[in-house]
Amino acid sequence: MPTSNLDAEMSEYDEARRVANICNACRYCEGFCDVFPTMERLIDFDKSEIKFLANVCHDCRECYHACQFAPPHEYAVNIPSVMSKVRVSAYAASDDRLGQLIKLFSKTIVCTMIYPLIFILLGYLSQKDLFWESYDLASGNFYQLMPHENMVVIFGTLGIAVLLIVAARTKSFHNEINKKKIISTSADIYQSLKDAVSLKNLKSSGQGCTYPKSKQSRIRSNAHHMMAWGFMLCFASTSIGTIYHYFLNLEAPYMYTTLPVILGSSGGVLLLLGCSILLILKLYQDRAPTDSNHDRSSIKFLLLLFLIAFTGLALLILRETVWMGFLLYWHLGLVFSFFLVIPYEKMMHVLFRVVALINAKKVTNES
Amino acid sequence: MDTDTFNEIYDVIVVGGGNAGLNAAITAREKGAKVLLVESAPILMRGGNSRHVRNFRCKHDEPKGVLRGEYNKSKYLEDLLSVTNGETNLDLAEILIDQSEYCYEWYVSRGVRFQNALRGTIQLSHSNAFFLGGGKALLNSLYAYAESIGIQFIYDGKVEKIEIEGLEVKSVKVNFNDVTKQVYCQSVILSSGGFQANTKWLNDIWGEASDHFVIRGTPYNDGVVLREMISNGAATVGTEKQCHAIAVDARSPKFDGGIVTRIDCITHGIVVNNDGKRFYDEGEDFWPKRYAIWGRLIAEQKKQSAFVIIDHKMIREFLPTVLSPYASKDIKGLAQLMSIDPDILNNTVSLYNESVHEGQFNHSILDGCHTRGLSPEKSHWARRIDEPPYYAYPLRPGITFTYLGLKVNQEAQVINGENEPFKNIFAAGEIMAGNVLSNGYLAGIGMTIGTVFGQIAGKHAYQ
Repeated sequence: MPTSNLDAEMSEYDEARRVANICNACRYCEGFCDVFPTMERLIDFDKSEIKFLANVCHDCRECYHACQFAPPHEYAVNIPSVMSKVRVSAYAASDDRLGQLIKLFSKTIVCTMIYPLIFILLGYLSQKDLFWESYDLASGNFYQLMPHENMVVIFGTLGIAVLLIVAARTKSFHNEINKKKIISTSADIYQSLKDAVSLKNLKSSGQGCTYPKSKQSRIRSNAHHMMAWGFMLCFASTSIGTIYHYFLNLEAPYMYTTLPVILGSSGGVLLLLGCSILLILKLYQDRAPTDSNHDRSSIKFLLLLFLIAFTGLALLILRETVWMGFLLYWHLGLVFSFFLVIPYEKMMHVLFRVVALINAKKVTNES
Repeated sequence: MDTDTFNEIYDVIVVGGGNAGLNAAITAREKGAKVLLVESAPILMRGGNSRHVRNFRCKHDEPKGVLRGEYNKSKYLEDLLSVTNGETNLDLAEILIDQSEYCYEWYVSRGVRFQNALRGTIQLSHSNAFFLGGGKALLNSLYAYAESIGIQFIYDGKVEKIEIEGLEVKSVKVNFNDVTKQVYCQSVILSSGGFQANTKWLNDIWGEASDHFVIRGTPYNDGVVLREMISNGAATVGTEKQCHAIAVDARSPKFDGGIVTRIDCITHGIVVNNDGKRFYDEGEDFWPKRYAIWGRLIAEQKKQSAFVIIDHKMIREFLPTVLSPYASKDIKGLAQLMSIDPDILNNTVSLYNESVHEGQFNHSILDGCHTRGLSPEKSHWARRIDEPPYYAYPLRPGITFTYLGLKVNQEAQVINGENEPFKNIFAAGEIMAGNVLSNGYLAGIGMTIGTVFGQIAGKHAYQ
């Protein structure tokens, strides 16, 4: 099993190296994104350089449609597909035992269905009497169903563990791709963060990218903005809720006009919209420049975010009905799944990409 | 394409869907013509050699868009006359240069995107506008635009006959799905390129040597339409034997390797033939001025084969190659990989090394590194080949395009042997480029010829 994994991994790095050698002799795509100017300054295309380039790639697919050597040409150059393949294997880190273990317990069906069901079941079994009761906001019995301490213990522990793994993985990725150990300037870091947040590499000429089909469109970057900002708003809502709880002694549930609810509900709506559009685009996209493993990881991630937003909004709307208990546990089960898939799947793209973009700035500034 | 496509009568039929054909079709359509474009390649390989281009050369009196500085008419003409040794149809050359000024805006307003000159081609940033993503991206934009204004297309359509009565075309015969159909039209624009991909035709001219030629461009430029027009009495420019050929990696695909198969280190090393002997001054002049002679030089060698040899200190000094070179820690080992007599090659390299007078190596000037007492000498950039590992790239002639073409007048009308124009037959692009570019090459001028004469043809084909 480990050998075959290694073989598969070698082959996508070999394929990426083969293709990069062709790109480097051609260079027509230099103007599309940061991948090609960076690639031109690399020589060996060893595993770490390929991993680096793959994480600069935003999968805009312009190069695929512009490529004179794309299939059916015998060179069969397909940068978006091979880069996606490398990225998803870099997220998964097949040599990481913990990663392998988590992967075993986080199949899509398990994450989207089984864990939420287990949560609902456990919730019901532990609070049989309260589970189907309707709640009155004013009475302040919100936490009777899921005591706040339990939530803190489960999600706090899990959250800290995930945070530590993510930090360690990001650091080791940075060390791996920054072979020359160059220190970044703050201007580089600022510019790279700006490029990352604005998705500069996803809209080469301002007209968007060639996604889902060969015509330039901004729909993908716009949907991604909705999803990402929706996510940030939800994150802000949770953080402010925590501050309210611990520092201001204001306990949930909060009224519609409070900051956590305003941020959380607008974030939830944006997430719902963004994820739906991105998922629908996946159905219509050109298959040729994709990688099916990468797509599976993305779809799992989008489905989870979609369901979390959906249950979160439903919880807000129906929190004074008998559905409150059911929705709360469903929502928490999904959040649990989400935590589980963070450190070895698509979610890592956020940090890997920022690190790769900062490194690309260094490499291109050097010469 | 719907089933009625073949049954309609068209104002203009354009034969060949590269840059010239698209310019012609779009110009005619924008004037209101009903246009059919017949492309011989399947959709994913459409566009002829325009797939492989990266820029076009245009006159501009001040900076605009991605174009730097100025490139005025007299400089443009001077450059053209210098590469063609003054052999050009001056009237057509002037039209070309004058009209080239408007092409940039023409492209931009039809959705074509440009980029700054590619890294390492800064010398072209004053004269040439680079297409973002290269020629295939340009074609994608033009095809999308052409479709949006209602031009009809046939892919995989082979034009077999141009039916002429007197000096007028009435119809063309198109083979599609192994069935030949006759399509009627008011006029025809021929933009189907040269004949360099027609291996049979090349064999007629070059004999067995042509088996060893690599064709850098599309396999669809078979010259059938060119030959058809010659047999219809059209006058020609250029000779069958003339072609633009450079040194490419012998391990390249037979067709369509494009720009990436070229080997750019000839000035950095020495070139030997299959007998292990040098045969030409590798450092005669700057590479951009000499690269196009190496196709012919290699074609003259036994089996049309040669090798360029460099040592370790040179391996990073030129544009990277797709395939790794042969490598060995000594020259004899290298000779074995090249299937050349090791003693002879060793002797050639030693003799060369002994003759080298090394100065300050500088590839960007005609430096003082040269050989003395060698035949042939290496005039510049001569450094001893003495730092292992040693590397060799196998070379073959790689044909870019053929010069033989149809003679045209200022309205892009095809001319017959009696110097009379065919009333409604026009030509644009590589098929008539020889009118302006009789020999030699100027980066990006092929595209300009296609653009300008494509538009002229499109304009006169529908009035």
